[in-house]
Amino acid sequence: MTRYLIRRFIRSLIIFAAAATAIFFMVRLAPGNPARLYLGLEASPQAIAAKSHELGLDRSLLAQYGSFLGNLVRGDLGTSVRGGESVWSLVLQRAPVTIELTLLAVALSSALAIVLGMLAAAKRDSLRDATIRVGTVVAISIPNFWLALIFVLLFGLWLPGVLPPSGWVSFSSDPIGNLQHAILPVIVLGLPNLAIVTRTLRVSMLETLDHDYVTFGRSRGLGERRLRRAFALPNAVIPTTTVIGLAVGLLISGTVIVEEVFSIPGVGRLMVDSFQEKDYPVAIGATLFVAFAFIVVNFVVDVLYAFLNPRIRDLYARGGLAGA
Amino acid sequence: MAPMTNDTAVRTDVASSPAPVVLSVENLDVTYPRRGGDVAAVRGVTFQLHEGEALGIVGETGSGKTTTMSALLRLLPQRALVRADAMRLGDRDLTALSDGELRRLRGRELSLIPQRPMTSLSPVTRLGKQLERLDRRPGGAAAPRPELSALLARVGLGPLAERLRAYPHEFSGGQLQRILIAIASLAPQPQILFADEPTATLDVTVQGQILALLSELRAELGLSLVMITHDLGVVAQTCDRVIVMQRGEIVETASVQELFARPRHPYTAQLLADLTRPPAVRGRSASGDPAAPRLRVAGVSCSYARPGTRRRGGRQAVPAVQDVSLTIPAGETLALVGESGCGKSTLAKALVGLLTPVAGTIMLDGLDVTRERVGRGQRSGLQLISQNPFSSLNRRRTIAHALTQALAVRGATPADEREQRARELLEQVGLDASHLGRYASELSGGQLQRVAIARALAAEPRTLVLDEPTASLDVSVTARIVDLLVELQGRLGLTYVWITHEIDVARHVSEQTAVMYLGRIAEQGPTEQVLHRPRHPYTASLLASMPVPDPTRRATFRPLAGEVPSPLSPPSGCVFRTRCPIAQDERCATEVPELRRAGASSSACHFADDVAPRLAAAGTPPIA
Repeated sequence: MTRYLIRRFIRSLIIFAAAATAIFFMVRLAPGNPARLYLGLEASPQAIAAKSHELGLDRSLLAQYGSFLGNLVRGDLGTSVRGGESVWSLVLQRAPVTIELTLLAVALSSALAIVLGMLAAAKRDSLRDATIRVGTVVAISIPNFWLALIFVLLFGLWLPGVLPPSGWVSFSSDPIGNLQHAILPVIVLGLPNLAIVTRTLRVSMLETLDHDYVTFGRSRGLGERRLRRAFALPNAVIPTTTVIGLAVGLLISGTVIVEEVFSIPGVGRLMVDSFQEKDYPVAIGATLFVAFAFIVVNFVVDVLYAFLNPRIRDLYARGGLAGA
Repeated sequence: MAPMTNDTAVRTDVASSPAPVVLSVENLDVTYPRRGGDVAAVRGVTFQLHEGEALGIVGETGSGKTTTMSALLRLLPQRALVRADAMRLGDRDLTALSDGELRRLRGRELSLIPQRPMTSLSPVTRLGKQLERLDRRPGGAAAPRPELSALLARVGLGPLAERLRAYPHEFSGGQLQRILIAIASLAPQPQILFADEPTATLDVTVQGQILALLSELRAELGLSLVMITHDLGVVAQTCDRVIVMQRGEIVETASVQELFARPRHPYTAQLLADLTRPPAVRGRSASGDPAAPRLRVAGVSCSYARPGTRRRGGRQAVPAVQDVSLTIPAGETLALVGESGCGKSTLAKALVGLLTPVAGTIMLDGLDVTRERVGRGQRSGLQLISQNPFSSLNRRRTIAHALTQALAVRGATPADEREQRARELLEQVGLDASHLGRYASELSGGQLQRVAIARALAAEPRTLVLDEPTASLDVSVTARIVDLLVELQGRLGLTYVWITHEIDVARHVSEQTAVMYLGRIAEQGPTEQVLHRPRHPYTASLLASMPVPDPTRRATFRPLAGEVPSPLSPPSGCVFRTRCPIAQDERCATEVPELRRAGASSSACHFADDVAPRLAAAGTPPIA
């Protein structure tokens, strides 16, 4: 098991390094000189050159990349071009908001999806199954920005006072207000995950219900509900965890739009703002955070996978042929 | 485990005297409604099962034997229409019971041993927890752990009792089937035990052990058994009475002695005839010249990298084949026999070049094909027919595509003549041009195997490696495919390496037989010698483990105990000694036996010269 964890961990590190490289070059290859933006249109060429030098922008791209990596390893993401604050503190300050939204959305939508997937699979091709399936198609087809805008309209204009249509309060200052503010963004964020996981689990359940161990359980006189819960579900959940891991990636990128529409001060909005302002260090820092979160989630999924599937665990624990 | 004793035969006599009927079925029909006409899976099936009786239901795939059982247990899918004049369990009418009432009978009074033990327990739940759920004895939700341990001990898994915390994949197929048998027959003891091909996926020695265990439990508990199987050997060794089914109908019902002595229905007679055939007579032009053999394998060893070890450098190797030498004259057949994991399929892979041996040479027509520079053209003289035609042909492509593709790879046939050549190839294997446009998914297993043979012939090979070519086919289809291969051999002068676990097939088709055990050749020689006068205790044990399709020869049925050891940690000295009935501690544990001449064969046993008397002294009956 330790061996498995170490392997996955090393793999995660490599992916993170690759992501950091890709992010650095993509941001740096974008047109426009941040020094000019910083100083305004009327700035003299000398001033721009001086600012560029100060920011290190006049060095070769490779040299900049080298110092970026070096700083990254030391945990130094640089300072904001605009405000001069440390990028670290900017990201850390915003991170809890995004993490809260993401985790709530993933946890609630996955839990609900497992219930819905089970309900659909229990009565295949029934009205209930059909309703759930159609519902998932609708949920997956709704663009998140549209739904977010509709929510803002609905609760801001037509039903004022029911739920806060925008803004944010921190959990520590007002726990209930915090959760109230979280409801709408969490629904918008979680909906695609809910749909994808429901469909995956349904198919996975139908497949496992055909397996020999379910048939044998049935021949022992166990009831269908018992067979679904104790025999089919623990097996059907395994492929579903992989899908949840991937869906979380989608969901994190969704926070960019959701935070913007609901005016929530999270990392997603930080990213949008910093790109608009060509505040490269902040843009890179915020994007790195998203990449990091995605990698962490998938590492957790890998660990969960081994936890749920004893054969994987065994293969690595023994380093040998299982059961040979 | 105790071998099967004579009380099996005694019980047969008891069963013929009228014992009370525990199960009776009258005019059972099972129909699947389909667009364009319903499909009748079972028609007018009528039979009775007496108390303590073992009833065999024999038939091929699709004959309705499993459907009949599932209809009784109400385990069929909902779309199946089940109708019967009567289905009675004792004095209860099964047709009148609600689904819930019938469910409560399952696992208590009607119990089932499944076909595939390896997949019949959930892979993600610990054994103990699963047994608790599957245990249906009255009195409490979960059976206490000591009781579950006792249950396992009863079926010969004593030292494994502490392994209730293990997962199913940590057990072998044979162990899992024992566990399932324990559950099905003891937790609680049912009135009727249904066994659905309980040994179809197991090796022959393990099959023998499982059959012996079943007979032993049945004798002890007085269970009524319904044994569903396609294997007449299994029926002959375990059943009192037999029902033969074909296309959903019962074609013959008889006592087991009567059935084998005087089969009345032509289908039954054909099945029996297919099983017990004399060695094939081949129209070979000249017997091979041993000086210029078609295939000469010298000192070949193969190994796999041990999973989970480092890729380069220190990667540990698991030996799969060790120091195998074989010589096959042109036009002859060598049968390669052994249990799964003995290395026979690995050797086949090495022969066709799918795997490079770590040592040794493979000479095909005087050319060393293990050298890296040997091209595809030179290898095409040797073709492989694999076990499962269902997966070796692309289901979404036509037969014409499969054959023309093979011809294109070979490159000898111009593009515009390939279609014509494909037609000829099909005719060679007993199919006609109308099959060209069909998809692989539309053909039966036998037809697919014919196509696979035709595809191999497209390369104009002189040697075929046949890796259990009939293992996934029914008995009657097996016989037809065997006939076809024998005929092709005579007509085209082919040389065969025929891998099989069926002794009957080996006896029928081969001049030479090599028996493998744990990667090594245990015995090798002329087939009639090896299979009739074995010079190695493993060969003798293998023969005794085989359920012979003859109910009068139950006494010679002595399945070999134990299981094949892991190649990761093979026994010292002679690899077979851990299961050998005549092993002696010192010599066998320390000294690796060389393959040496014994009579007309070669044997890798220290006691090769007097295997038979030693076996007799150890209580193993002589081979007939």
